Amino acid sequence: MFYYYTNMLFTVDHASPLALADQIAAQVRGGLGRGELEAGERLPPARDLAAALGVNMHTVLRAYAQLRDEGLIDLRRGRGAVVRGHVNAERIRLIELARAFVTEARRLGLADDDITAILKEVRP
Amino acid sequence: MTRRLRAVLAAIAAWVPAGVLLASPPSRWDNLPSTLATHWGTSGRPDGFTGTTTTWTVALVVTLLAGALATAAATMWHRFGPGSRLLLGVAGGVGGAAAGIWLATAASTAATGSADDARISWRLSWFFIGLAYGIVLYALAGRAPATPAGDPSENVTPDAMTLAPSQQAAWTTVLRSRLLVGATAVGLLIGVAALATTAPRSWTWAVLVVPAAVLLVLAEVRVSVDRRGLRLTAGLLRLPFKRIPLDRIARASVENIDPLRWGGWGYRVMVPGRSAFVTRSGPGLVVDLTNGHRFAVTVRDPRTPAALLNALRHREPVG
Repeated sequence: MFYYYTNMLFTVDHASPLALADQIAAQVRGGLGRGELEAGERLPPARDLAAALGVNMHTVLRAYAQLRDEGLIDLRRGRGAVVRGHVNAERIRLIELARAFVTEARRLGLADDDITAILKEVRP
Repeated sequence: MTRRLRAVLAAIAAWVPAGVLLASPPSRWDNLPSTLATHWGTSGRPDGFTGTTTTWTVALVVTLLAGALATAAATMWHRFGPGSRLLLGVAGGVGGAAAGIWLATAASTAATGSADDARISWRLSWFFIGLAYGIVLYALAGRAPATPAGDPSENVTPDAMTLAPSQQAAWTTVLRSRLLVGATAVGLLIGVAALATTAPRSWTWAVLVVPAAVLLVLAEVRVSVDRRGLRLTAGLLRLPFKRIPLDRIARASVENIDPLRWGGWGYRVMVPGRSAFVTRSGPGLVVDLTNGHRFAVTVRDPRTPAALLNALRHREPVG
């Protein structure tokens, strides 16, 4: 009779050097990557999640905005944050790889042009 | 005589009123007109009349339903416990009363041959005798077995989740019922159609709106466990209808939920000292409160929220 949503556990560490918004976004990505979160599922309302974790609502909204920019969720007024249809585990792993690549490039002091140049270089 | 046998006998006896109806159809009476006196004023003169066949049919349906109810109660004897005995008694009373009403009204009219001259007088007692048949069944059914405690191997209290003091965790899930939304929509459509065809007064719409609103509110429920404790929020209105703060929680565990032992499906407060939001039988999160009460909610993986609650309740409560 009842339709069950996937359970979602969010944890944030206030002592971690990672920004709280990044931590929250990473947990959603993890859930998507492991296949625990599926298309059409709704993330908890930002206000609720912020109160639950004891963080600012804008921190959660920043995390959700980050996920939207990555094309993982839709953010619509009134409907909240909904996992997008085409999202799959492979794509998310690829985004994670790209993120690691960009982070490493920044550490080496490369600018955006250098990064895109490298991408063009490795293209077959 | 075993307890089980007594329940079965009570269920069989619950069909007696239906048997009385089947043995006394309108055709079996001499002198019974097509209309019965079915209501009497204070003067003793009849002021309400119903078709003979209609009265008999309605009474028969009621006794058949009572028999079915009693049979169901007897088959659930071991799971439903004391509730089964009560149901057997109710079924006996309802069935008996229906049979009593039929016999009393039919005999009253048949005695004079005309509904207009019928007097019920002492025959009214047949209704009360029929009603008392419920007491007979209740006594016949005997004491129900104490409700079993279920399989204890399935009931576990998970260890507290490891959480560093700098860590904060929140668990959430949504229970959503497409069936409930669909049923509400169908019910509303039928209600609207019925009202539209019977030229209603304006206030009759309220009859539809209230149950529809209740159903829609409960069609989606978010369950969350975090530093504020356990809470159930009605999805569409974001209305928190159950809140249990951490300092009232003594223990969180995982149990196999049998809906009948928690009072049924839905939001239940029927069994003393227990309340529950039950959507099916299966694993559920059960919270023991510091005042001895228990609250249960069925979720897909209750181990995680139970472990989280056990970790959080050792912390300082947060508003």
